Amino acid sequence: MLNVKKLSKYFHGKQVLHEIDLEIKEGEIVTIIGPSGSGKSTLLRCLNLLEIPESGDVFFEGINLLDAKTNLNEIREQIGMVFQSFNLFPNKTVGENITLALKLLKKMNDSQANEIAMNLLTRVGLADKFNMYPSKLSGGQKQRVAIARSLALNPKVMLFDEPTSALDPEMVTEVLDVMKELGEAGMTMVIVTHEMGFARQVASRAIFVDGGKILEDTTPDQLFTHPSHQRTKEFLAKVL
Amino acid sequence: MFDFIIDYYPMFLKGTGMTILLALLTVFFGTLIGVLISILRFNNKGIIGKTLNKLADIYIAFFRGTPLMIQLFIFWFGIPQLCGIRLKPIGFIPAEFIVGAIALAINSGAYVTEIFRAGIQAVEIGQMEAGRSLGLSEKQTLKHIILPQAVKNVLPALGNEFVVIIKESAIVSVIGLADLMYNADKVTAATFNAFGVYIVAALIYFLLTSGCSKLVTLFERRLQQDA
Ligand SMILES: Nc1ncnc2c1ncn2[C@@H]1O[C@H](COP(=O)(O)OP(=O)(O)OP(=O)(O)O)[C@@H](O)[C@H]1O
Ligand SMILES: [Mg+2]
Repeated sequence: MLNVKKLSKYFHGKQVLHEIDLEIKEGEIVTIIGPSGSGKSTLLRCLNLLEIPESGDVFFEGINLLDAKTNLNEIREQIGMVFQSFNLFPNKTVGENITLALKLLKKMNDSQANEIAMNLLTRVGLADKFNMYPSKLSGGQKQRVAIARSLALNPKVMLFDEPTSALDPEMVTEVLDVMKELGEAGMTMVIVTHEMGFARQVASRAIFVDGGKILEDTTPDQLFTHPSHQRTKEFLAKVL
Repeated sequence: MFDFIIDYYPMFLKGTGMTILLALLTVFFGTLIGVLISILRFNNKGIIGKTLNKLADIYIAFFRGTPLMIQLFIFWFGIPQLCGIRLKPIGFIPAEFIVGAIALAINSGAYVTEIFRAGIQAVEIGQMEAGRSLGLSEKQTLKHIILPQAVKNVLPALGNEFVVIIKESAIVSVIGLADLMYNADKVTAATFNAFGVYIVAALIYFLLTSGCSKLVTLFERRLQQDA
């Protein structure tokens, strides 16, 4: 579904991703772990070109996102993204956050869009918050709304960048539960996370990134119990 | 000390009316200029985009970096002399008023543009990223997500700019526009009561600026309630 070839990314002349190769298949739940600053977010953000890599290619269902002829907006409709800091639109209600893209991109009328938004909010357990503004929600609720928002356009893959890192501990579970259900429903997901328990339990594949390189790419069990690199062992010893 | 008011209050009233009219026009056209240039600035691609952006930068730097009095003199004395034209009233609108309003509006436009730039920058980068990741274009994200938030950010500074305009507009009295300041000068000349007259004029300016502040605050509260 997603295919990354020899991807390199620099910030101010400093290389943060080194010729990454990565293929994500339909239905996979891939978790990306690694130390802070290793390039996890950057790699994830290259998958929908929020960051533009200096070299290499990113394919979505065979279409090269870096091809000037590609309609990037159309591709992004099919790739959902959830951010650490939620990034809900504070000037819009919960319902409007979800319906905005439906109205603008799918040209839906109010009732069609509202119905979809309501269904999604029900799915994440927040149907009663439809008319509220994000500022009135807890962190966990905000993140669930953000997930609902990115599901609105029915994406084929969802990218998560540390979706629970900004949350109080007691709210982490409600968000992870929503993600788990998504996975069980067959959604393809790429998840950058520090939640090792979740990674191990839910993911079908685990990737360890260090220094802008993929050091390990294997099953979660293998990665957590028999890491093959010294760096992975050190990292796991620190976080487990 | 204030008995001159009985004889001269029409002068104060007329001057105040003129000051209000001038301030309103300046606010309107200054904001319009600010909005137009801010929109223009979003396009910084290609030679035309880059050139226009550079021109906008120069405009802002010049009008924020030089005294308003000099700008006014350039419009009132400099440009007519350079072009060899004599300024004439348009219908019943005196030339002083036209030139004064234009100078103030162009000056204020530079400040408003800068206020908008800061307001747009203050919107978190994550908002643009959220919009783009949903598949919205840059234009759609700006229009539906960034700008509505920027407008809200901008209101306090914009309100402050309106207050500044009321005060700064007094400078147009030097080219003979009969605003509150100009008429106060005249009353002083007639009564030799500089202290009393300028205190009254100051009080009127103060009422205008504090009234304007109140209105802006009310308006802001209204907007806050909406979100
Ligand atoms: N916009 C940016 N400008 C400059 N440098 C950046 C930018 N974004 C990331 N970097 C740098 O690139 C490197 C990789 O950053 P990245 O955010 O991808 O790491 P990460 O693995 O997600 O870390 P964390 O676990 O802390 O989120 C870091 O050295 C970071 O400082
Ligand atoms: Mg990160």
